[in-house]
This record gives sequence, structure tokens and C-alpha cells, in this order.
Amino acid sequence: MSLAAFNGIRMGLGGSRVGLASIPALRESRKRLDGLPSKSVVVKSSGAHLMSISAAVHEKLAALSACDSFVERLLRDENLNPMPQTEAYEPPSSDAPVSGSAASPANVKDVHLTLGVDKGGDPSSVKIVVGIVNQTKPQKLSNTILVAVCPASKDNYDEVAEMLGEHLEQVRELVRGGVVVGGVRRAVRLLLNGYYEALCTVHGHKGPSATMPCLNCLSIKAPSDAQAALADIYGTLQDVDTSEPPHSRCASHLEQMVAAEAPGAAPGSLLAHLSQAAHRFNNRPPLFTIDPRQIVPIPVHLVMGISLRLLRLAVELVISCR
Amino acid sequence: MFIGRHCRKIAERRDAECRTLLGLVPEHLHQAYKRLWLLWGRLERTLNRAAVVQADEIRQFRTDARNFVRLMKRSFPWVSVSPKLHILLHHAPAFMERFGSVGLYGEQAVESWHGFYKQNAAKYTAQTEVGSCANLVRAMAVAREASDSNLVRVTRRNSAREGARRARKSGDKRMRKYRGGGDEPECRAAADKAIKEGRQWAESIFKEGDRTIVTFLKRMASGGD
Repeated sequence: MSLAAFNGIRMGLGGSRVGLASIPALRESRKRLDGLPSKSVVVKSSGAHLMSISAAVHEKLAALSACDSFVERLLRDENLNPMPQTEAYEPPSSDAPVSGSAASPANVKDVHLTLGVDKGGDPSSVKIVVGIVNQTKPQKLSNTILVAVCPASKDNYDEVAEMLGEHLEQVRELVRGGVVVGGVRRAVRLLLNGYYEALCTVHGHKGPSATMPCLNCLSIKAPSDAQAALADIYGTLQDVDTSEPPHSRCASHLEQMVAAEAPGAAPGSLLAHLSQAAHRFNNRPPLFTIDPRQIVPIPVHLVMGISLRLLRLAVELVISCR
Repeated sequence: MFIGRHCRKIAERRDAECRTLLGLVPEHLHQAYKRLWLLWGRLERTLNRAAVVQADEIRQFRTDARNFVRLMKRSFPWVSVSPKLHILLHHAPAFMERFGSVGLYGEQAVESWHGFYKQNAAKYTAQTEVGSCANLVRAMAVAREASDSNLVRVTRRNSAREGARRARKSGDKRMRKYRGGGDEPECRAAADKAIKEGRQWAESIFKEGDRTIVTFLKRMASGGD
């Protein structure tokens, strides 16, 4: 409701006599809210960013817990039965290396957070959104946290690195330290979503047209003479009869890619010097290392892409029968 | 060209698309195409639902995904399995089996923010573009205080008082398509632009389809798989 609409109701009910706050009082409390760490916004050259993701997540979780709206999200076992979470999370010691890739065991209490990066809209901008899945309607706009809006017509690696760079340290700290909900410390299970190109950018991957286009496995695009050796080892996307892709990607490989480009790395280990089988088409260091099983399979873009493919198939069918 | 809502509508009206092919293609291919849409209708519903999916439905999803991609590849040999089809075949079922849902974790909310900013850009204008973005982030940070998690009542219900549910604004009690500012073009220029873009899209689809078939036939002629 706008302030004008609120004031209209207030005046209709009798003005200052009814006990509703006046417009100056509301403006003053909005200013106070603006000053909270969870709501402060900083403007950088890359765009407008929320100052503290961590504070915003904690605030949201506290609100969910206070009104008993926190919903457990349990992982499933191989028989698809939910696995109970019985253990509280114990963060690693402060001198342990900080990594976003370690996924906590299924029996440890956790909170599922999604980090989404997507370019779009009019005016075009890259938006970074954090979602908390442990609630009834996690996809509802008001239940998500808008972390950053960055005006951009392109979302290449360097630009996304600058935008995400504002927040990555805080996200890593959240994943390492966990969060406290209802007096119990829980692990943070971070999942990445967005559109496929953005996910590739975050991983430093060459993109969907690379020879190994998948972020979850090492299957190559199509069999060819040039890539015969890779196809023999890793299989291709065209093998639709296999029950599972033969080789999955792993977080440790992403960490190796980060280390390869880290300051002080040996010159021979640089990404540019690695073979295709070694860099696996990650031509830049990943901005964030995550267990590839926690990359969300882009449902909205799957629906749009495959629906369009089916429509095009009808055209191809008619052409092929001419 | 299409957004998620359009795709759902296209899937709902799959019969019309399949009828278009009647008489133009052999019956067995027509049946295969019809079966593809049937499978896709089921897959799309499970894939996008923002709720926990039951175990039986997850198993059915894996079976349907496998049947869908195999049928596509075998009945229409020129189809190349794209990364999206590969994700549907292998990684979406695996994710669903592990987390119990894909839609709960999906990118719908991020996409919705684009729409929200587009619709409300005028409210957050500033002297610079980044200033407008800052206004939006700031306003949304404060608005979180009014989200479901802070307001205990999760469903909003209008008062049952007589007359309270009567339409007051031109958009009230109207379907999205009749509200104006939604799918329907607002002026003649917008309508003409929509028609022009539609034609361009159809032309590009036709050209792309033609190119795919020609490439496939060339590969077959040269003895490829």
C-alpha cells in the first residue's frame, strides 16, 4: 500500500484520533529500517547491492521461525524416502580452508538456499536473488531476497565476477558457519540457479556450445573425428540409451581450476596450459565452487527451450516429408 | 518470443498443433509427434511444480523423460540431443530424486523479478540507471517486512462483507488477457509490431528447420551415422 493510500484511510477513519501512525512517523521508521544491515544498500560501479546477504538471510529465517513457518526440506535416499535430519551442524574450525563446495551429510540439519543470477528485463539488468527453500512458497517474489540489480546489457565473465564479487565472501562465510534457526545451528546447502549461460559464467565454463557443454557431467556434444578420443572416454550427449552419464563432474575439479589461476600458482599449471581433458572446458577460474549435484536443472528454461524445439520439429517434419 | 506461461498454454493445446500435421506427414510420424507432446505435457507439469513431488511421480518422471528423448531421437533421426534435452534426460530426474522437487528450487523467482522491475520501473526512477536500481533494491529490502514470513496469515482473503468483493478498477474481476497491459497489444503500432515479430519468428524457424534437414541429408549421403 502506498503512503498516500494509507493516509487516505487514516484520514477517513478520523485522522490523528484513531492512533494510526502519521506519514512523518512512517517515513521516520522507514529511514530507521533503511539503516539496518539487512536492508542497507550500497551503490558500486557494478550496480546496487544489498550490504549484507548474511544479515538478510538471518532476518528472514528468524521471521520464518518466529511464526512457525519454517519447513524442513529433507534429502531422499535411493528408495526416494526422506532421510531424517538428526544432527546439528558443527562448523569447521576457523583456520580450516573456506570452501563452498563441501556438501553437509544428509542427516545434518540444514537450510536450503538458492543463489540465482539472471540477466533480463527492460531496462536490461543482471539480478542476483537469494531464495530460502524452507518455506511454503519459496518462489513467491516477496519471499525471496533481491540481493543486487546491476544495469548491464552483457553478462560476460568479468562483469559477473565484479557483480558477484561483492557477495561471494559473505556467501562462503554463510556456507562455512551455517545459520541458527530456532536455537539450532544448521548447515547451509547452497544451490545455484539462473539461466544456463549465467551458470556457465559462474563456473568459468565456455558455455553450452563448448565440446563438453554440461555442467554436471563430462559427456561431449556429439561424436566427431576430432573428438573421438574424448568421446570414447566420456561418452556423448547423443547416447540416449545409457542410464547415467559415465563421468560426472566434481567440486574438487572446480577447486583445482581456482588453484590453477590463484596468485603464486606455478606457470605450468595455468588454465591456458592445461589440456582439454584437464581443464574440461572451464577456461576461467570458477567464481564459486559448488557440488555439481546442487546445480538446479533450470526448469523454466527447459520448458521454454523444449516447447520451442517441439514446435520446430513440426516444421522439420513437414520439410523432411516433401 | 515465448515465456513460460505461453509454453504451458502451447502444451495444453497440443491437439491443435498435432492436427495441423494431419495429411502432411505419414501416419506413424504423426503418431510419434503426438506421443511426444503427450509425454511433454506430463513432464512439464511435474518439472515446474513448486511443491514436493511424490515418489511414484518422480519414478514416472524419469521413465517419461527417457521415453521422450529416445522417441525423439529414434523417430526423428535428425534431432540432435541439446544440453537442455540432456539435462531433462539425466540431471533433472537425478535432482528430483535427491531433493524431491525441481520447481521449488527453480529460477522462476529470478525471472519474476525482471517482470516486476519492468512493470514498476516508473516508481523507482532516479537520475541515473544505477540510482533506479538502488531505489528498487532499497524498497524491496524494506518491503520484506511485509512478506509471508513476517505476516503470520499466509493467505490473503478479501472481506466477506457485502459489496467488498465488487469490481472497482477496470482490471478487477477480469482475466489477465482482458485486463489490458498484459498479453493484448495496447495500440495499433504495438499490434503491427507483434505481427511483424511473429512473422520474422516463423520465418527463422522455417529457415532453421530447412537447414537442419539439409545438413542431415548431406550427412546421410556422405555415409555418416
